[in-house]
Amino acid sequence: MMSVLERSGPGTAEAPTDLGERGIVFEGVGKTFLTKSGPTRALDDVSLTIGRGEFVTLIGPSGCGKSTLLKIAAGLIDHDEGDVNLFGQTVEAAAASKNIGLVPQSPALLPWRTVLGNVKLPLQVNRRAKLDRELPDPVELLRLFGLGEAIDKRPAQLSGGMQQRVSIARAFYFEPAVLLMDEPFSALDEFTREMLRDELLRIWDRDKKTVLFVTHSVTEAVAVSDRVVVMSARPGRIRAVIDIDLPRPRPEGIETTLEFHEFEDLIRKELKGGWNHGS
Amino acid sequence: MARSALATAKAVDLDAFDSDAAAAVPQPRAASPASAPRAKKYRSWTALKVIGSGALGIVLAGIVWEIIATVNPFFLPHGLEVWDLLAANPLVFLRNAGSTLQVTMVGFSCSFLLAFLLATVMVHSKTVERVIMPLVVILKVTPSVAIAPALVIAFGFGFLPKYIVAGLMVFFQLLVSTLMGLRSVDPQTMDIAKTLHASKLDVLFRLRLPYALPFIFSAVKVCLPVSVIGAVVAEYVAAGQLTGLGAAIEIAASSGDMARVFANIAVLAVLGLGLSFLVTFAERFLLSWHPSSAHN
Repeated sequence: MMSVLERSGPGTAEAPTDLGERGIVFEGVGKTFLTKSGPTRALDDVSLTIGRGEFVTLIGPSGCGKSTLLKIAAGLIDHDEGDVNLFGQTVEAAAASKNIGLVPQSPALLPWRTVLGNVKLPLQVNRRAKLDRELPDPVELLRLFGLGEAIDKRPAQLSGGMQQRVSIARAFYFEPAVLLMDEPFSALDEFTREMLRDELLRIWDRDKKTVLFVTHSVTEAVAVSDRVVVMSARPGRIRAVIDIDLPRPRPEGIETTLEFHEFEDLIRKELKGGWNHGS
Repeated sequence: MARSALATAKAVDLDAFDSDAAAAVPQPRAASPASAPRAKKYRSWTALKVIGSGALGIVLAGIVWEIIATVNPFFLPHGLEVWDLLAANPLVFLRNAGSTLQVTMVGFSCSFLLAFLLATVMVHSKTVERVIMPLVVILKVTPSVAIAPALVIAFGFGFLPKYIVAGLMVFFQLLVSTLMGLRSVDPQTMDIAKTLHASKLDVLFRLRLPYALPFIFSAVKVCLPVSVIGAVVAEYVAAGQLTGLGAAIEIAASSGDMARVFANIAVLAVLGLGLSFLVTFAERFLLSWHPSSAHN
């Protein structure tokens, strides 16, 4: 079940021919933060290739650099060493052509805009980027996310779960090549979290975008991913990459199957190994 | 595929790495707000109480005033005397009020515009901030009133020195508040803008400015009355220029005409009230989305 670190995406009937088929590529990425207590090695020689249409999750203890890696892919943090490529584009170029859809931890909605206005924001900034892709009808998309009633509401009128839905819809709306999700459900209660996770999967299954997902929940990682990347801390390194060979779309109640638990146990074992090793 | 759906296996969730998620009990949704009509009734009752208590305070103060005025007419004039003065020649007061209003508004607006432009530049350039800030702090700690006579000498008895004093009084507060407001954008929202390659102008107009509005409004609320003070003081100082409520108070005071002094003060109070009302109105209109407006 475990694979080598470098691997192309699933459904590799035909091997990736051009760089574009390899969605997100990290090559020997390193990052050192300068803190008051001296330099901290956040990422050390991280190499990972995420194929087009693959859903990959980063998991690990706090300080393992999983969020840092995501932020590097999003162009929010510069890396010191190595290369990062998004569908053959540099991060900068990918951002300029609006190919990065970010879903941060908090909904990060504009409180003075309606739900619809928030979802449309990506089109209203950086108009120089000519989007040659066909965009969905925003109202239709919001209905799909169960936000049909909320279209004209302001974020403050919505629950946390609804707000996060808007945030995800905003990232889907402009059809970016990659979706980067940084613990998008971590601020929600478990019930809402599971509901949103299932919804995300349902919508993702329609056109399978390339997703890099960060979480600290093992169950969530198994439930959503094609592959789970387990990271260890100090320095942040990839410890294991685990293929999740569960059917897609995920059938109802899959969390209670033996296979699901086996994947969970495998990930937990790797996490604990990394923990003991690190300390 | 083995589908042994063991319900008990869920307990595996209670792992060190996942405990926070597993232990989280679905939170009950916040209780639905009290039925609308009752809330409305409650609100109008509260409004009545607020207005009633305010009126009571004013009436009580008026009674105390009249008692003092009766006991010692040199200390305070009777309210009626003041009113008679105002009613006898309202045009004079209006003209003076217009002049003071002009000084206030021109001075304040220029100051606001300059503060806003400077804050916009400073939010984009640390260097500019480092150069400008010490100067602004020196300006702030120097009482603008003290500069007024020098300004009159430098710029003559026209309106210009008055504008400068009225503007100078509020410049620091407007600059600092605007700067803070422009910087108050939620960092994760800023991240979204960055991944979209939003231009600096996009960020300024679509994020920074709306986020700054509550800061700007609270600064304007505080500063507009201060600008009125600046205008009045400048009118005192610029002796020989007989316009404005400040000058009118000076003249009335020097001839011991208490009623006229207070008539002018009353006009000033109304002026201040009117300005505050306008700002609050604009704030409600522009900041309906902001949580602070829910309490008004």
